[in-house]
Amino acid sequence: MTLASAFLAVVALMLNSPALFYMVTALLATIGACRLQAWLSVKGLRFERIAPESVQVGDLVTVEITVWSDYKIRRPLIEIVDNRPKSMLSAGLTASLPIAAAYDLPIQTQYQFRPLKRGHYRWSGLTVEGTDALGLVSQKRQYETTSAEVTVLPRPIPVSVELPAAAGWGISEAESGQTRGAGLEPRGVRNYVSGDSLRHVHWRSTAKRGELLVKEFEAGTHAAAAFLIQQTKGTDVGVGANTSLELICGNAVFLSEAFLRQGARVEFPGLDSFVANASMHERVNQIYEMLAGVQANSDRTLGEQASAVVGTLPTGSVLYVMMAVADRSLIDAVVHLMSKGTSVVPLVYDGASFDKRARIISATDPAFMGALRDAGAMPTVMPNEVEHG
Amino acid sequence: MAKAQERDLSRIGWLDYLLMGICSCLAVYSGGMSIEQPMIGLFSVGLVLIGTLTSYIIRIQLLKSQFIKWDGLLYSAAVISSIYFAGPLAQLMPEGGFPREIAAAGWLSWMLILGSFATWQDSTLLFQAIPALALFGLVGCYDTYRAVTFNFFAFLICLATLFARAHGRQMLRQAALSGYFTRGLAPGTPVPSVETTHGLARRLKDGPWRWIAGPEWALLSALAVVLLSLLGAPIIRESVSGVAGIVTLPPPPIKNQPPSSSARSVQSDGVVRIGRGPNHQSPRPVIEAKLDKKRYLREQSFMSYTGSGWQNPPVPFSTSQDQETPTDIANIQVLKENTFNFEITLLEQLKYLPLPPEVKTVEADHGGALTSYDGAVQISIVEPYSTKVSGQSFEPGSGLQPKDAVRNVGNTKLLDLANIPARVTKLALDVTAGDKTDFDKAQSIEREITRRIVYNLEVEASPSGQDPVEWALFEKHEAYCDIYASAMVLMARAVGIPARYVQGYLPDDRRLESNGNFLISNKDYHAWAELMFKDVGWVIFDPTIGASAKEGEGLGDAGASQPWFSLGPVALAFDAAILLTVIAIIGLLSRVVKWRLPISNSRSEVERCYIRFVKRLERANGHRRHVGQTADEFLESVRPSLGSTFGVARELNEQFVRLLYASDTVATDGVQQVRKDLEAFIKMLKAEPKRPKGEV
Repeated sequence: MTLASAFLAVVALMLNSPALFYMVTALLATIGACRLQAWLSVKGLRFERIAPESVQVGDLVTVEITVWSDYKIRRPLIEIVDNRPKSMLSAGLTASLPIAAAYDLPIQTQYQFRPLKRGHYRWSGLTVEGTDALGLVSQKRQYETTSAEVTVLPRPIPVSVELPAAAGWGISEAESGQTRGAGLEPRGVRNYVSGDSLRHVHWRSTAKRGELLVKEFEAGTHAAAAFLIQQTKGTDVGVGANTSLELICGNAVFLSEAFLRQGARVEFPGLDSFVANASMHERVNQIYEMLAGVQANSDRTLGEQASAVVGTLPTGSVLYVMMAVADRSLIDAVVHLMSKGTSVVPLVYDGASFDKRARIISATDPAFMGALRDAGAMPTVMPNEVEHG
Repeated sequence: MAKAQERDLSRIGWLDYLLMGICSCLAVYSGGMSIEQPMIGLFSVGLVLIGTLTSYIIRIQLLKSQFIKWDGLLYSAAVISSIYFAGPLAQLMPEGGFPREIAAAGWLSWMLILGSFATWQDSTLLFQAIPALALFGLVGCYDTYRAVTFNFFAFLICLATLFARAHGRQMLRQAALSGYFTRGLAPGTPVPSVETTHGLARRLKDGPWRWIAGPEWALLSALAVVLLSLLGAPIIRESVSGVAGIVTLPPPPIKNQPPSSSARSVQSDGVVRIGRGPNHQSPRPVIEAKLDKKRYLREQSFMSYTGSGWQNPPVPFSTSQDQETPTDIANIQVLKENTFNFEITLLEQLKYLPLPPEVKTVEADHGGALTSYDGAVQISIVEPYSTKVSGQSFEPGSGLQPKDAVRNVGNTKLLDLANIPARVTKLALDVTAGDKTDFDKAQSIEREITRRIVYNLEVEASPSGQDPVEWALFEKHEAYCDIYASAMVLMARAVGIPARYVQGYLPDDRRLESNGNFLISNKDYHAWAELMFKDVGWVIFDPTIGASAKEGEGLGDAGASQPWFSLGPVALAFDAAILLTVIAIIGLLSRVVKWRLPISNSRSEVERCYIRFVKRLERANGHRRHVGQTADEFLESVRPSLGSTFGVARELNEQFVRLLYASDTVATDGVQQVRKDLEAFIKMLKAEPKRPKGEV
């Protein structure tokens, strides 16, 4: 409309037509009035934001924003766009409710989204988009607000995989107990969770209760599991929310929870410190919080990370090394760890499947896996879910 | 079901179609009037109205159908058709449509017409504004229809309201998509359609839209814009007049132009015939005159009466710039003259320049001016469009009273009695029998003519073979300016006063431009008599002034035969419609100006009081209430700063909580009580000594 008015203004000037002068003046005055309205619509506002402190990946998050007007004027509608960080990938972002800020009452609006990627996110500020009453001109204005912090926790990604002997499960303890001749009594039955072996379903209880129940074994040696996650730069393969590190953290959370339910001690060396008297619930929360912040931004190789663990784990611990990219430095570390009595179970992922263009050697490379076996480790190929959650 | 009185912004309604119909009609009508073809305008208006009504009916029938989304495709087809089939479509219009020079107006008109049949959604409805704007622009370029300005303002007001309503609907759709209407409902509840669900807008206006500046404000803004334009545009035009007008655009030719009246055309034999029948003059502007006041503009004068018209012997024109013209053709000196300036802008090609008598100096911006001995002026170099002619004229000084006529007129025909009917001569002698001076005689003659003849532009032509002046004076008693002027001249000559027949323009006071200039059209073409008096010179006598006229056929009404829409009952209906529109606008304005809050019930009154209460506490405490705090929590947090007034504040807070969260409606006396208590608390708080921060 501005262009049309400018064109008409030039024609009016050239022709000196009175009618055109009136029309152009009216059009330009209309545009001016619209701009003024749009400017007024985004001026003099106050905001407060309420966002949840932590959510899980895929959960529906509702962020409420309350608006006050400092001026006692009627306004055209405004839309509020929160300045969430770009790294906060999300899906299902709902449109913002257009509102007219009121002088006498706070007006609430909200928007919802589902975060796709874990992490600690912090942002402040929002953008207000206002238009005039005709919807012809829009104006934007940035407002600073108190910062919001949202921690997106990883969603446990169930993995159903048979871990090798000495893997530290209560169940495998039963197996190892059987082979050593030590009898282990089941300590009870519990509900089936994804990942439990169907060989240990307690069919009688299942038939009685009508739900799947499995035997729960006493972990006689108080098994300890430690998880080492590959954090070397360039080892988080994939695009957006579908990356190897996301899958690894999701599996790690699932496995940790399962171990903790079994009564095992779970550690993440280098990432957090083990608190002795924490309840299972507290420990699970700690692990969630810790895994939310794991990033592949370290300069240390996986071998260096593993070597740093030597001597720090309790006797009989099993170290689960989760990785998607082959790292030869791990081989020597495995040998060293095995010599110190720590079993190493590499949980390997096919890094190449996350991004076919990535120039990496996948951790499932046969040569690399062979080398790991030769070093005494028991690599286990983890299922690759291209889309998790 | 929604209540009948509930206004719902959720959907396109009849009002939107009415507004767009008005916008399109104003545009196409202006297009037709720009070439002085009201039938083309009315034809287009009729089709647009039919198309708008058809679209409305289709929308109602197909609202829930997918077919309604085809409107964009159909509209595009309409636009393409209006250009591709421009020729055949032009033939469908009356008078063969628009002339070739302004063919684009035809395309745009057909775009509006055909498009009006396919406006089923907001997008196509609003898109009609584009060809309408273009058509207005085209009409404005040619500047042959001055009323287009007011049509454009009306168009702008309707368009603004339409855009505001469409914007409101779009916001409503966005509100629906944001999940506002499904909050608290089971997940997966479908979002209600704004097109088919009643009451959605009302829910928003009771909530987050309570302070919205809605369509009423858009209308008010549009009216303000119109007022600003009316005042500002002339100022802007005046300020750029030095650089404006570098391009001239010839006005479009008018098809089937009505035959010009007998008061104008000079026949091939050089005779101006009089009494030729109904007078149909075009309203097309001819000149713009900057004068100190309304004046006669003389174009040509004639001396010889042929019995059916007037003619002149060939008169020489002299060429020079800024020359002085003789003050009269018989070298009469005028005592005490007042001079005044004039400026004439030609909007059409004219052979003779209409200038206010008596011209003293004249200058044309494209070349010299030629003048004849009788004062007629021609331009030597014809630049027909927007040529400016300026100069100075003079008139007899104030206080000079004409008395005696000039007797010695030389070889001129000013006293020629040839072809004057005997009855006319006798009448002149009879009515002037008792008059002493020539001026008195002239006045008596003028009065007699005014008394005898009724002004009628539609009078039929005088019978063949009969003198038209005699016929009008003694038989028909109806005529227009040419007969009046001729009668005046003939009767004046009959009593010995030199007189001549003059043609020119008489500006109409109703057509004054905003810059004070007169806009003169062909309808202002006029004839009068000039009589020569000693010491004064030519004195204008116009018997049409003060003559009774037939209704609608008075002076300045020389137009085409009365169109149907100006006939009595129809004109009355238009007047009624205009009056109703004005009343509606006033009602709308008063609604806006009242500053009514959307909700005016007791609970919102309590809410306002609570806001005030909270603000006082915030001020006393030094920080704001957190949105997550309840009323009690907030009161507790500010307790240290209230001192002895805390008890009163607590009771007041309890009142607020009780009233705000009551399930019943709040009684008026409850509101009044809380208001009183609040005032008392505020007074107490003001009197409370201030505590330093941190002191408990």
